[in-house]
Amino acid sequence: METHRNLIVFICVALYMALCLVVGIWALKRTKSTQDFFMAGRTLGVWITAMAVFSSTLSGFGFVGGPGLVYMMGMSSVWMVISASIGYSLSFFLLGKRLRLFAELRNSISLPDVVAARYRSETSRFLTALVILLGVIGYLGAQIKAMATVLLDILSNVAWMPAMSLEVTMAISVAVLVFYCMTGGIVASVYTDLVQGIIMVVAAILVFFAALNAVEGGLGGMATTIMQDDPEAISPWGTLGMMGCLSWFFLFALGGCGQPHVITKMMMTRNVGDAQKILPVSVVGYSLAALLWIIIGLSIRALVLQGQHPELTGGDEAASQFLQHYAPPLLAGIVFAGLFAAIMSTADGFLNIGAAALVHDMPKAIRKRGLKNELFWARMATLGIAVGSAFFVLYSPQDMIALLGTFGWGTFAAALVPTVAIGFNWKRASATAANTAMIAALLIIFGVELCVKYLGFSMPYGISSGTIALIISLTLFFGISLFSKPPVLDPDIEAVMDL
Amino acid sequence: MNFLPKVLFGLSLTLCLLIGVVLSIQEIPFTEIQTEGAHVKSAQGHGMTHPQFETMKIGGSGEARHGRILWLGWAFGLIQICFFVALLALGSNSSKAQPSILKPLGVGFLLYAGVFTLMIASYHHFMLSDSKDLILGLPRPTAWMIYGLWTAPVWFIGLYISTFKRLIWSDNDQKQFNRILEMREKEVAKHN
Repeated sequence: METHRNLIVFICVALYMALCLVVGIWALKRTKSTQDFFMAGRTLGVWITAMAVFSSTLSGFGFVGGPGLVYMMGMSSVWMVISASIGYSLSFFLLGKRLRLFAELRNSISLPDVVAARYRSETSRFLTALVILLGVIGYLGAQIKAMATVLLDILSNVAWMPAMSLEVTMAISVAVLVFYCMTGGIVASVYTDLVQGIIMVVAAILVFFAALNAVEGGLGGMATTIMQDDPEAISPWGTLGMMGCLSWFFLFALGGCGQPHVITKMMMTRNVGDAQKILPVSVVGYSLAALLWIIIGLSIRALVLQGQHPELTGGDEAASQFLQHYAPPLLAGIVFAGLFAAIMSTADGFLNIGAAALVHDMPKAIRKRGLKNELFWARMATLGIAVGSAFFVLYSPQDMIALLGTFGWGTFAAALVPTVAIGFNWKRASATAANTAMIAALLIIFGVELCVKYLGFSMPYGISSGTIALIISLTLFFGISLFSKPPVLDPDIEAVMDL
Repeated sequence: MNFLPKVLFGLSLTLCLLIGVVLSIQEIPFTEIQTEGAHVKSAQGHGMTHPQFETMKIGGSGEARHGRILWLGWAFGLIQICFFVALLALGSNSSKAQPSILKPLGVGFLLYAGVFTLMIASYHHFMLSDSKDLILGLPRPTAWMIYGLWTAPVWFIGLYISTFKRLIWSDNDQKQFNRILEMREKEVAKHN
């Protein structure tokens, strides 16, 4: 079996991709309107929604970038993982019920739709759609690059396969993704999420035990090796240090409520009461799947320090190197399929919200009415965004998947947490406050990124620019709302906010 | 419960202030680099390249980089936890939910903040001492982080599940929502 390792991995991934195509064709029959394409007709059950919520959160960033960060920085990035338990609690307390109620009340098909209804402002709708589009391009690009990198690694190890470039594997990845997203919209996306979620959990549990066996002494052996080299790397703060880690904790815990590709799934449930069961299933699923993030990173760092594995050329190689060398062939195949699952489940969510922002929300905000034949244009937008993001990431100078992911997360968090998570629970929050918070968040994030890129600026203590943007946008949002006249709300929205 | 947004505003202002104070303190360790006519301090407190493996980083001395700011970090984390719990209370927005949910949320805050404080205390000892024992395969402060801080919010999840049908979404809420929906549909039909 070991001699056919690469072929087995290739077959597992090919089967998984074929399954995605089949789901796309099946979902095509169930997608007859834009309501179906973007909201799955609000018919999702507990398990489907829970799996979709957690698998959309744990993206290629988690499965490829995450282990890479642990390899490079020790325990620092684990703060992103441990923030999930409080993060999901915040998302469900603040939005589990509220978003679903607004969506049904106004028959909304996107997050900007609900924002426009809550604030009675087309400017708020436009800004929300703009934030989504900007974030989607960076974040989706990271997912597509992760897919292409992993696929290139797999195909280059298959003996009879001709040599391929990153551009070719990117084209293959985008083609599969676009096919099932264009045909089946969110229906295909959430049903593939279910399969993807199951694969991710199974893969992570199996890898956890494989990693414990790969390093002598298991978890204790890894910790001792890392500690002998640099005690700080295995301390809670890793190499990044305390302030940087705590800034990530804040950004990832609270930022979860601002991730549009995750929270829009809460608008699609069959019943409001389902939120009670979705929360625990999502948290357990995420926590199990995230074991892979921690254990692969720690084991590869320990193996390199022990001299049992050559040094990696970059952090993003950690997951694929571990699977190629330390996991049994069939497990490696399942986990590689799991990697694709993690990446695709996030990417399809982004394609969906990005397409909605482009063909539904922007025209509505500008022309006060939607496009004719919205379903057709939604499919075209799906294609356009995927191809655009692929080009963006292919020719972007940044080559770290994890950092692109962080950038996207920070943009959504800083811009949307005040507007959505807080504004939907506080009647006094005004449209001016929401719009100011969104503009400030975008300016700070892009401003800092530009300073880093062109002026060589580095944030002291490794504090995340997203965290600073989030804290400032929250302060502006509360301050402006508290010191201005209470806004007038539509009676139905006000009544729902009292429930 | 109109005080919650004011509390949250106060907390976010405190977070701004705290970040400002942190940024004003010179990061340690640093090296001075001579550039065109100026000395530039290049901070290494958030990771240096590993001397042997250049794709890895090391943290260096914990005492050197965290000794002066440990209490600030503790305050930063504690205010964050306070902020999170206040938001959970804001999420239980309806008048019927908040009075009875505040007490268990307060207990959850004490639990979460307590675990965080124990982790900081344990790290303080780890940073200064040479003996670094393992608990369940991890150094003591890291074990507090993984086994304590990761799992502490289970309290809030349990609270959400156990109070859901009584305080968050009751049958009566469903009836009220159906009435609002009906009125909205009539309104829309009238305009069309």
